[in-house]
Amino acid sequence: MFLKVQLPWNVILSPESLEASDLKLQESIIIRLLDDFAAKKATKDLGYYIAVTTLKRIGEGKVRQHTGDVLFPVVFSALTFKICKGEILEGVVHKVMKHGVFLRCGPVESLYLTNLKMPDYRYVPGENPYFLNDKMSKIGKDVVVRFVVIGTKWMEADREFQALVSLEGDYLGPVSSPAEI
Amino acid sequence: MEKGGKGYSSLNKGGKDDSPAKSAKGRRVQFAEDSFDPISGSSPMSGGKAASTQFKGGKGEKVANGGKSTGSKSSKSSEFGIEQELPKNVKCVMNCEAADILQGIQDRMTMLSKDPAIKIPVSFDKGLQYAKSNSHYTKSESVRSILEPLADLGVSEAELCVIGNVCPQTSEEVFALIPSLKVRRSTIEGLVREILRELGKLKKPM
Repeated sequence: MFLKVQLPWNVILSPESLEASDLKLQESIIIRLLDDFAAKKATKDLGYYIAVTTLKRIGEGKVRQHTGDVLFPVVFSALTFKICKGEILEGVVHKVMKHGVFLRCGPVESLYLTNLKMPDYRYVPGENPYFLNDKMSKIGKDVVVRFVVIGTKWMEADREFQALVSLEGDYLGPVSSPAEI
Repeated sequence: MEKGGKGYSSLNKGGKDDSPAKSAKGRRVQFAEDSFDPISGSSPMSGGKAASTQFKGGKGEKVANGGKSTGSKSSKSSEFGIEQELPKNVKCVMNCEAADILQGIQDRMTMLSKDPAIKIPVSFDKGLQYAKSNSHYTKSESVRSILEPLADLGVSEAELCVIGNVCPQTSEEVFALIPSLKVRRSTIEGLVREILRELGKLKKPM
């Protein structure tokens, strides 16, 4: 789900980017903040960094000895997206394999639904394989599926999450025919 | 998830089966007990018990072909809710609220994006697209105020947001999808029905 969080960060400006006017200086700080925010991509605690929403305050700058850089303490609000165990989400199937399907959900690209967690669905091979149950409900590429998250994993090296999901439970399964998410 | 992939062990059975299974069913997908730990650090899956959120009963289907589940138990995590996964100082935001926030940012970004110094997070577009696609209500500010009375009866902010995101049709669906609410069912079921009626008036046309 989406999260709104208030974060205190330190924005560091090099001496070259320091401006004489307050307005220009503030602009430089904001640009640097947005740059640092975009570079972060995601963290284990807060999930994927989506956007800076508001700038609360910029503190007094402190000159760092030896480098001459200036450190500005900044407090801002941001929107992030994190998948949580037990959460109900909807994702789009992007890859169908014999033992399960891969889905994407928002910024999360690697959600895996194993056939073991698709009760009553069987694999139908072919050029465009899919899973089918007795009620002719189909789970194939581009199908939107509602699922429950049963496990998550933070991949530090790639700065991304992976998740295991399940359809075991009522009101879970394909939501509609192929759709954009 | 590959056979013999690093850090994975059996999800369903025994928990000690490290060797890739060559059953008649083919490859078994295996997951390590600790590598798919919830980030909250709650206890890993115990042997033989899948840490899945499962639901009893088989009534109702939101989706066209959703099936009934066979009798199953809720996981420990679902008993305590999603809050276990979240840091303390965050506010949960519904998809409809996030869609409004992000659309507003994007509208301003058409001016900002002309400046090459302004960097946009890589997840922004996907986040916006997801929020808009999964936003089911016309007035996001009204949705929260309609759901708010449930907070007075002990429903957490995360649980409120899941209700807002899922857009349930019936109270049965609410309690099936959010098992942590079952302990309060007798207290809140009437209010849930009333709230769903109100939310139904705000639903976007299909």
